[in-house]
Amino acid sequence: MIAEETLVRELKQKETQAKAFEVLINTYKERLYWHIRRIVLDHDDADDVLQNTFIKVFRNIDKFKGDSKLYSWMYRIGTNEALSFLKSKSRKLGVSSDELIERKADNLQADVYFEGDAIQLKLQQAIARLPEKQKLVFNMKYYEEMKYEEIAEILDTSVGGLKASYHLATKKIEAFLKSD
Amino acid sequence: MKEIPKKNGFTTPPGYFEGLSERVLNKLEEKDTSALPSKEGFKIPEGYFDGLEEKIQDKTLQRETKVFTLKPFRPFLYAAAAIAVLVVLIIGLEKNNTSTPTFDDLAQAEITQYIESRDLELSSYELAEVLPVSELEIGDFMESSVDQDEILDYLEDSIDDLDELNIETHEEYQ
Repeated sequence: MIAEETLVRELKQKETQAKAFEVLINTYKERLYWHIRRIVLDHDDADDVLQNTFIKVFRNIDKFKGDSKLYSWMYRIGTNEALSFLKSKSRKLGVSSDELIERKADNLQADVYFEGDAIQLKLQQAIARLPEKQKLVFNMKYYEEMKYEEIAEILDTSVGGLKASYHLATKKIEAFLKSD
Repeated sequence: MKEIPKKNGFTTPPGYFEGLSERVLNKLEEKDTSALPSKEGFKIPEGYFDGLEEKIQDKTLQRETKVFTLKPFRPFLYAAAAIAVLVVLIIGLEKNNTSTPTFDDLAQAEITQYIESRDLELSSYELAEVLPVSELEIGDFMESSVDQDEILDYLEDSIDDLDELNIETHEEYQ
């Protein structure tokens, strides 16, 4: 795999940009897709957000100063894109972001791209009811198996706060799963 | 009573208090989630990832093309810029004592019209990204101030779990 600094340098140079961008997309498309999909839940929205994320990365690569890892920076853009996508979609529908995501989770069974069983469905419904930050931390820790340090860099928060958020999230999920 | 020593005789392992908070936090994460499914149950259309880069590259190229369509206006821009420079020079020579106009001299209406008449293509998210949050006050967005009691009433009515607020505050001060 190409070294990160080399890739960033090539992304910033006009002559090498196109090829480097292709490498970037191929390297991160799947990880970023799943990260976004867990936030927006359905495939079509995830596809929109993923494409917008890469376009934003392409347009803003000159602003990337290398203070964080490239993938952390891209994850941050992806997360923000997904959350603002949900906000603008919910505004159009006249509901809150939380309500929108709860509705999406409750209707997952009707989604052709969802093949989960009853427990997987219930787990998604439980996650959908978590506050935004706990939802992000739970997904990144539980499904993506990221280290707290990595999550802290992406969400720009403390490791201690993340551990507390994860703990609260698992407690709430447990309570929801036991609720009926 | 005087003979009873104040020390209770208890000791702690060496270095016990060092890193205690870290050990407590580590305990917090040791939540057993083994009973939960490790997959979400999501699937994707067949072959979705193949050719994705092409789709995205097409979009970035389209955006680049947009820039080229503006090129025919360049000569006019140069001409306008040259005239503007001449006008400024003439005015400057005639009125040497006039002070340079500043941003404050612009009427609010002119600024609003400038922003509205141009397709800046900025989403609220992008605007939020460039606004210096630390320098903003709540009064910059609101015409009338909000009473503290009103805020407390609002929080009481709309927040189900007050613990959540405490968590956020706690994290902020970490």
